[in-house]
Amino acid sequence: MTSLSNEGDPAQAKAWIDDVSVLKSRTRRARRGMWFPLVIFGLVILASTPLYMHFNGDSPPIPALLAPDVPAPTTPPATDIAIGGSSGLLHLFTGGMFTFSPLKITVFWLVAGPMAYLVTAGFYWLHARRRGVATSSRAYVLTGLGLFALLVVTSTPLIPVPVHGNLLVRGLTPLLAVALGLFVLASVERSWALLAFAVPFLALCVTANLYDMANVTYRLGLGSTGPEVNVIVVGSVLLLAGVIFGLAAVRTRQRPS
Amino acid sequence: MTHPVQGLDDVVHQRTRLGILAVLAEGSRAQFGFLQESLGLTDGNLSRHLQTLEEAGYVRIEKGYEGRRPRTWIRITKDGRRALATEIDLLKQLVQRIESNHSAPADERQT
Repeated sequence: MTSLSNEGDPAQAKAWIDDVSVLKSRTRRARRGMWFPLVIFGLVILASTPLYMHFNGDSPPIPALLAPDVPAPTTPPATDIAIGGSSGLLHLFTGGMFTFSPLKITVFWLVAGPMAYLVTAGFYWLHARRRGVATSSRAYVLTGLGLFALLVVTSTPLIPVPVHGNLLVRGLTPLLAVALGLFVLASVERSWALLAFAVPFLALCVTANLYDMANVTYRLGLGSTGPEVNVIVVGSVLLLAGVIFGLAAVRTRQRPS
Repeated sequence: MTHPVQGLDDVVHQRTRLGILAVLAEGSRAQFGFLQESLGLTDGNLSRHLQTLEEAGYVRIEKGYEGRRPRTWIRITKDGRRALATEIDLLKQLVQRIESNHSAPADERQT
């Protein structure tokens, strides 16, 4: 019997509704791959750590606008920095006035950010071939690339966007792009768990942009003094979340449905 | 008030085809083999149901090759998603209606 009678059989209708829900959850388990972008971005963030380190205990130059008594800054405000003057093509969209190498940080993120999204798109393509069912990662990848493009565009004098200076001093604005992308990922993966992670993770990234977590580690006697602490904390949290989501995916796939 | 059964779409109102649409609605597309495995169907049986769904405009079938291996991917269309949502909604209404009839006193029961 494959269709309901005209009067309707509630037991059978219920069975059909249950079938749909079982099939959907089994398919969702097979297609999900959200652990991968979390691991990739966690690794990318951790790989950027050396760029944020203060070597030999030195501090980077402090811009005059934040410390008027010290000599003129050796680096101009981040929004005005460009290779080849203000008309240059490569603007330091990441900021990073409190770091030694804002240019290296900018180049790193300009390459690593889009690359990580492209690798993620490749992963979802391969995952779909292997599992036989696909998740549309296009919205996530395009949003991520768009957020990076937005960071670059808004750092040029062409589209001046008023940004609170504190957001730019640590060179960590790319973390915000990564964190915002997770909301789109949670939507395409239809995962409440990922959404529940994305909210505090965004808060962590905002904190990393506005506060030196080294204040805490220094008080705890762990020594580090620069923005690299923020980078390590954010990268480790993302990597750990990716590993946990990955292990959970393996466990649910092994569970009989 | 119209009985929910009257709103049912004959194409979707069939257990296997409802299952096919449910699987397809969960991802962006699925392979023929995945559908076969998920629903426990033979080649011929699945092909026949897919043909019915394609003729109704509820799925799109894409045939191609990955390397030398032929692959068939199936996507649900917007109409397919709409038909699936309507079917589930009507099934829920049906269950609700019959359950409320059973719980009401005999003289208040609807026919």
